[in-house]
Amino acid sequence: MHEEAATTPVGELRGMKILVFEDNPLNQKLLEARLKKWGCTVFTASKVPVGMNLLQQEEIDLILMDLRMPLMDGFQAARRIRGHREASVRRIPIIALTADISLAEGEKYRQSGIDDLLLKPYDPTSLYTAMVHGIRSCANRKDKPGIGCEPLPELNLEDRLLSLEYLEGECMGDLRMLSDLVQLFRNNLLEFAGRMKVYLKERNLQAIGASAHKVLSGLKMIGATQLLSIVEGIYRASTETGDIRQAARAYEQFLALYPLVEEALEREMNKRK
Amino acid sequence: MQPKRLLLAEDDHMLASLLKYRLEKGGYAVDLASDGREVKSYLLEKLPDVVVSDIMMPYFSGIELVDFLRSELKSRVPVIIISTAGNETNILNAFDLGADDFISKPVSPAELMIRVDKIIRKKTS
Repeated sequence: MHEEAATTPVGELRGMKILVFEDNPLNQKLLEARLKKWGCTVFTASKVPVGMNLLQQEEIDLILMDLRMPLMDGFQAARRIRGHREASVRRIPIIALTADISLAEGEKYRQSGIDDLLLKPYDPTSLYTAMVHGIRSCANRKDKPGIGCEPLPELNLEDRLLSLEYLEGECMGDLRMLSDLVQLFRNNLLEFAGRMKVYLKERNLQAIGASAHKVLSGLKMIGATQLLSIVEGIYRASTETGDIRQAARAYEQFLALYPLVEEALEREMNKRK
Repeated sequence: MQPKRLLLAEDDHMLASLLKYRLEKGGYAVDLASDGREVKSYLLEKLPDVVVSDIMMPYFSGIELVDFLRSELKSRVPVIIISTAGNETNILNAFDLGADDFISKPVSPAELMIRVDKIIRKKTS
């Protein structure tokens, strides 16, 4: 640590608000300690939806992103940030952190809107330099909104993502029951997301169909019509047309939309507390 | 009077919890089973007053369940099948094997309750 202080210039990052997407608690702590030493204010998100909320609430100067996170990978998260409805969020520089050398090659990370990539293990000086560079070049592009900012095409984010009225009625005003059911819904959907990943890899159409089928009721119950139609698409692709690529495409859409539904669900439940 | 006991076989935990909640409010004692193996070991131990089962279940479908009850256990316990659109042939099979009623997804808890009440009344009259 002493060595670091000696080799790393300090000052330029003082007061910067940094959002860290990282799900490993140890890495979180290490990164947080280092950034704090440089005078940064650190926000940590172990799940993408949490990070997306923080982006709304705080004026973040730079994002550090682990490329492997549960439910949604860093590429998808980056695309969502670049497709954000607020220009100020779309412009935030993103630096990816990964131990996977294959991700550092090629242009995939740039295509998802990631500005720079550091290969783990990286030394503090390269991190510092990359961060300073990211923040400077962001200041330069402030007048040019729209860089790498393709919003997600097919999804209509203005539509209501869900509606709890039906389920609330069935729970006869019992808030605890409602919140239990919402928790079960979340579990079902997370399980679905995990299984889909495995079954798509195995090209197991029958299992894909059965998994999709199992979450349809829940999606209807919480009135998540857009997500429902995506999952119905997965079900049809696997049972009727046998089109695995179509199922995979729909699954990508599911991964992009699900975190938004979960956020909305949380907001709805908070309103009721 | 002892409450009537109902076995609910449904692998979607969310739907199962909602139905259990409403049926218990309606005065039933509800036991849950989330796959065919649980159903089978439950039935080998005791028979409920009525069975409500999803037609698509891991290890043991609703149809196999009806067959197991009627052919192996020689039981006349009423069975209501929860079915899905597009499963019409299966429902006919289930009726053939001795299912008593069916209800389609999405299941309305109120409707299920009415059907359960009716089947219990029929049995006791």
